[in-house]
Amino acid sequence: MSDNVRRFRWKKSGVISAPDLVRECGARLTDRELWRQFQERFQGLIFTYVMRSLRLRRVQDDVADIVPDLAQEVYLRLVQNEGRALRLFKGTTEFSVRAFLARISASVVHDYQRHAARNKRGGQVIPIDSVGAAELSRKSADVPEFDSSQLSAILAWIDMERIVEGDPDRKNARRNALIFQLHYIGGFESGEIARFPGFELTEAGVQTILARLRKRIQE
Amino acid sequence: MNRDYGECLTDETLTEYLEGGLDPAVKAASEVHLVACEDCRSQLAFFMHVLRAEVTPEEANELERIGAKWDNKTANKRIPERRSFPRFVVALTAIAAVLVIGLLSAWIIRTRSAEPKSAREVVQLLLMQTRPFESRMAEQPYRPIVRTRGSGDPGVSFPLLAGEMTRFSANSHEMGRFYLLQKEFERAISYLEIAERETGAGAAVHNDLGVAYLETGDRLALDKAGEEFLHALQQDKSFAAAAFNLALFYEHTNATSQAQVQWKRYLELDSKSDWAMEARGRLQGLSH
Repeated sequence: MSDNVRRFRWKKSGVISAPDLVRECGARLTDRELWRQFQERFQGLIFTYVMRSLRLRRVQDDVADIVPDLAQEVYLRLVQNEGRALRLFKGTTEFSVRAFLARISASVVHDYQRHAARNKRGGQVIPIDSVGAAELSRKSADVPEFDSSQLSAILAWIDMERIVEGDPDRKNARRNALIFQLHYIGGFESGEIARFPGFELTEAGVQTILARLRKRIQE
Repeated sequence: MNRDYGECLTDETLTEYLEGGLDPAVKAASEVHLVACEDCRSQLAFFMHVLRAEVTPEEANELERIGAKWDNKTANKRIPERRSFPRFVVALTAIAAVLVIGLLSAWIIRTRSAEPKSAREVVQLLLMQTRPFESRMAEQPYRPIVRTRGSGDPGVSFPLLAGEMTRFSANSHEMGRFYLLQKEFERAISYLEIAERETGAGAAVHNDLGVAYLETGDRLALDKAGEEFLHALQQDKSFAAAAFNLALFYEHTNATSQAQVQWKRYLELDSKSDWAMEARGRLQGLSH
């Protein structure tokens, strides 16, 4: 019986796909029910993307304090100009919706950071002694986990063009080189890379490419 | 821009690349650029980090704190949770509600039957019900723009109201405004042009005539719209509606930097109203 109930629930026809929900919200900006669904399905994603963007942009403020405000700004961007962004959304997949929200979240964080930097420049005067002390403590506390500039230099030294030219997989030579860079500079694991459909590879596939390119460079 | 490998990729192209949604030729070109351009590669990596499907335990903790803050902020706006009451309480409440609604409706109908008292009030009442277009008529209360798929009929009988306008001996400006909010632009323009020629035509007349020109969508009329808004501002520097419309005019004519400057000027005149919020949104929209 419980199986029947479950099956019945799954058959519920009122569930709208994520891309359609985005577009519908754009067409009906004042429809509370639609926006309730939007919030239920995407609010967590918006929080996550804003939070990650802040971290990646190295914004030091307490995320719990600023994410709610920036999330509101994301909503504002979605509805401004009569919901233009929502109405013009052309995506057809769940991923495209996530990418859309990620772009807007990243842009909001970018503007926040720019605004904060501008305020800082025109802001308070700090005694030079305290700047020196702060700089010293920052240097001692902030030992980099890895020096990306050094790695970039090493990668620059490796002739990527030659690697691309010498790859027997002619069709995917550039993609393979990009994966190599994302792994060694970006620090992405093979599984993480494989999870993005654009690379069209399984985790094992990414590992094979990395192994092959590593071997070629050693040669 | 990367000289050897073409233009840098937009955020949209980068995320579409990750989605696998690019046309094969564009995808190949993007890969050529990505391998060579460190900035674009960093941005691609940025989106890969942001779009990661897994949430780490540390992130989960942060999200919990964020959720709590959000709930605090929105707590007073929330609809209270439903509770279950005994049936007779519900029935009694329903009867009481019907009585209250009936009395209130009667009161509203009686009050409403007393209004409007002038042609100006007819127009104001209509403007309170609907926002006919993006631009802003003089004395227009703020309403968000709602784009409907239907005819956009606000549910009022304009022919009946036209009779009321005549009964109230509406002047040219009021008649112009009356037709303007019905989007009968030709008629509105003919009334408003008469109003403009009258001695003592103020900033409001110039503004409303400018709105009529702007909303026709006619290229020649568009230039006239700009002139009218400037004229209104010459008469009254702090005439917020004209300042708002002038910024819109610049947007319509693709004069982005002028539009940005004008939105900032508008926000100096009015920084707190709902119109200001919309202006701020538009200004932000232009800076992307």
